[in-house]
Amino acid sequence: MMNGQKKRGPKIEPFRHKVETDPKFFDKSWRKLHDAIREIYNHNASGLSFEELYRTAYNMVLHKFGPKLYEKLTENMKEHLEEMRTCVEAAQGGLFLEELERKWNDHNKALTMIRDILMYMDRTYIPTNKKTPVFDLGLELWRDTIVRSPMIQGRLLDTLLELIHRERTGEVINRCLMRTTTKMLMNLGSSVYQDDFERPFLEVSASFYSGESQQFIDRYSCGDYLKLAERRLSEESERVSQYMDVKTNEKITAVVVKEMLANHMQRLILMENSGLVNMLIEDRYEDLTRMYTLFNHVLDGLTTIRSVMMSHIKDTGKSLVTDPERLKDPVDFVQRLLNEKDKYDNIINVSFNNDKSFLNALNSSFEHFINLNNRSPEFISLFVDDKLRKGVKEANEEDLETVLDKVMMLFRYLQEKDLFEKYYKQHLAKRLLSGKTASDESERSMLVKLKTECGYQFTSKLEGMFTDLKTSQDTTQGFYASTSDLADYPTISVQILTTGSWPTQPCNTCNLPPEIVAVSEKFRAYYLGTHNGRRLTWQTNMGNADIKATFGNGSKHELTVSTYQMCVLMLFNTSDVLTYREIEQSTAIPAVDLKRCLQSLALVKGKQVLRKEPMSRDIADDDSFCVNDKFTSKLFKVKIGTVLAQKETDPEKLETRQRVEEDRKPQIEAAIVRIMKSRRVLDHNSIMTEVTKQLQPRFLPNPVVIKKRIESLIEREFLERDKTDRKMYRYLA
Amino acid sequence: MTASSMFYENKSLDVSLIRRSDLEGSRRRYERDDSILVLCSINVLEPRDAVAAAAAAAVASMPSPDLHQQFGELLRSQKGADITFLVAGEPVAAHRSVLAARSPVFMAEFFGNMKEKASLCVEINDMEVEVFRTLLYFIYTDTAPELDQEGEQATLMMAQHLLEAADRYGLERLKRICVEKVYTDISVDTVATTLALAEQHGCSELKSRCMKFILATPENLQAVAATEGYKHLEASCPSVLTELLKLIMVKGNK
Repeated sequence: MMNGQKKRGPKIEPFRHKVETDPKFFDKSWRKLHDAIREIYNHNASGLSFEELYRTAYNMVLHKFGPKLYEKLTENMKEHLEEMRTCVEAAQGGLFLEELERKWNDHNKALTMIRDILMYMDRTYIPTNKKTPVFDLGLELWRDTIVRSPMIQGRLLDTLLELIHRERTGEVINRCLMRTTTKMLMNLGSSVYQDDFERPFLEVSASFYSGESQQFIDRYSCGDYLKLAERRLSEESERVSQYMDVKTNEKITAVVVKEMLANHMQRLILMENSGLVNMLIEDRYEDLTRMYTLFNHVLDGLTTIRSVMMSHIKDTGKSLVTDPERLKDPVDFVQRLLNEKDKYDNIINVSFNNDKSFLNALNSSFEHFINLNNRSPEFISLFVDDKLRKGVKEANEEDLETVLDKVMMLFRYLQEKDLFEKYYKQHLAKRLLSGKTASDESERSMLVKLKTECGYQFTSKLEGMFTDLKTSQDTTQGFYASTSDLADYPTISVQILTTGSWPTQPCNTCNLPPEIVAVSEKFRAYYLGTHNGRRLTWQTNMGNADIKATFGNGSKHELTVSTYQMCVLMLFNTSDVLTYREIEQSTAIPAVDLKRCLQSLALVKGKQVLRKEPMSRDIADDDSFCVNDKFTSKLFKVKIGTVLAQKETDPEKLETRQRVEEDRKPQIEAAIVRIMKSRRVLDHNSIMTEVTKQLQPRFLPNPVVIKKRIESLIEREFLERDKTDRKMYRYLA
Repeated sequence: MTASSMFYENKSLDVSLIRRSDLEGSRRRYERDDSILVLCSINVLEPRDAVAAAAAAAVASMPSPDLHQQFGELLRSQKGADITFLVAGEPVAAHRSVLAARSPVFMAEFFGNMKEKASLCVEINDMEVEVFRTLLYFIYTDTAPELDQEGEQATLMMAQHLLEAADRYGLERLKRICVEKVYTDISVDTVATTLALAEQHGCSELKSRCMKFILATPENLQAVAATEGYKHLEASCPSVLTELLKLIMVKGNK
């Protein structure tokens, strides 16, 4: 070239595309490849020249012999595979899979090399004409010639299934071989794996487990059967991970679950003496956890467990609250409820994975049966009363706070919360006035809990009670500071109770001893001096006194007695013997109370301060009493028992309930008015629903009562009936 | 903008204070011609931009990529070469790993299971040694400087040979480069051979471009028909001519 700017090397020839004129070109070229492929299949590839073979194939394609080459290749591979097939078919027994694996490996190796040699065709002729690439062609031919050949297909599947069956029945099999075989099927395409192996495998497994479940469901307890199911499930999972496609895991699990669990669900859960109910009763956490985990896989499994649990809780709860024996001890009654709640809280926490739906089921079961006994509100209040009296001196280690929190759970289940409020007030009053509350802090804590639950109105009066006592202390101090000429009088400590805050107990004042009268009048004068316009009434049915007593036998004691008892005893300073009638007249104490008072003074062993003639339990008008000069006690200070807050007698119970019913009427009316004021016009059913909903936090209103209240409001012209539709009501402004 | 500070005598390190009374005092040391000269010495800290500029300069002085140069040098020096090609009798040394990394054909050849896996020498037929060398150079450096001249006959011929070689050894990028080169440098002298090349190696775009070129003007057709390459085409690739004829008829009918 002129102008040698660039240093050029040796020249190259002008380009001429290749032309092949030899008519035997194809046959010669193919022969080369054909022989090479034979050597490859005979494990003799290392002597072949890749460069030469590749170039041969390249030239063939270049000269447009692609289609013919492809055809010949297909034929040729088929031939080789047919030879291999013969070997595989001839294999005996256990060697069948091994031979198949060996041939498969050979074919794979050969196929790789063949593909490499024919790489040019793979890149040009094949994609252009949408033919199957060489490697995939090789796999397809393997599939069709060997795996799906009539002699082999059935035998292969049978062999695999047989081995799996043996493994299921406890034998050890060659898992490696299984793995390579299933991998081969997967390599041939997921439809091959599924059609030729997975589907039949699942069918066979289904009948295997169906049989197994039939066999064992009759013989095993529920717990043992579930252990078996669990074991089988993990076995199958492991099996899949060892020698099957990972996607099979889900499918086989579904099969086992269906055959072993779903098909027998009812029978298992409800099995007598070993089913769910039995497990719950015996707190068998491990079994319960297993049951939960397993039935989680089953459609509606957990729903079934939940509903069986619910009806069991309702049943045991119902028998608990309606058992007459239990009703004799309210504290024990509530303790049992708490224990039951604890038990199920634990079960749900440990075994049921804290499943919210189960917690809800527990709550609604409790709500259901607690309200079957209409004394539940009273009993719960008594339980709290008991705890707040004794305080932290518990047998078990649980501290008071925890117990109260648990009680609040029970409180939430109550439908008649207003009834509880009434009792709580009564019991609190008794506690405060008798000075029997163990810890001010705990009382307040309980109050806070109630306030959080029910709002301010619930607890405002209760708080008033605490305030009254505090103020009373200050007032008494003030009284004693105000005048110094009280030294001759008995010392008094006065509690002034605001009438609205405390449970009202109408009381006629009895006749107090003159010493007491004097000092109490002084107090009254002092108080009214600083608080104009108020009225003070002595509640002689409450209160206590410390009396110094000297008995005939010389023993001296200090007696702690109630006010009534004090009045009775002081009479004996002036008389030696008194009949019942005389005592009644002198003291003006109501008969029922007086009898109880005398009984506690004369008939309680070890505390017989008085002697009764005759010694019978009942008190007749002519029975006579005198001081028991033989009275002895190891202690100097003797407490003459006051009747504690008992559960009410039937008449008392009735009275409380009546009062609660009375209190409810205005609340219902207020609710009706509130609703009608905002809605203006509303139909009967809707009013019922709304009222019930509004009052639900306090109590469940009786529909008959609601109706009556509506009538009353109509009479008082708060509402009117619609002229045309009798079922509609209108609010009158 | 105003700022204020409280200065205290003897307390600040930044500021030295002098009482006015001292200045105006009897000594009049500092006063000269009724004026006072104040000498200020200012320290300026480098602004942020300067820092960035320095960083940029550091980046700019980063050495540029030179992978292809070093591999080119490896080819030239033949250090560690582990295979020798005999191309039309001439030896050409190379490194198996590099070749295998760049061409699937060489990969199968040198890391498969046949003879070449262990041999020291491979015979290459049907290729010119210059073409093969250019091929190797591309394999090592990803460049083909031989193709960079404009319009030279020799370059075009090289591109044609190289196209075939690239196709044979599975170097798609090189093939494309060659196709572009050939595509742009079509001339009456070379179009026939290019057409045959395109036909054989499946470059459909190139083929249609060639055909279009031939049929662009009657003069083109006549001129092309007179070339050697065209005669060769007639003899070996009649199907192409049939296609060409069809196109002529289509064009004629418009």
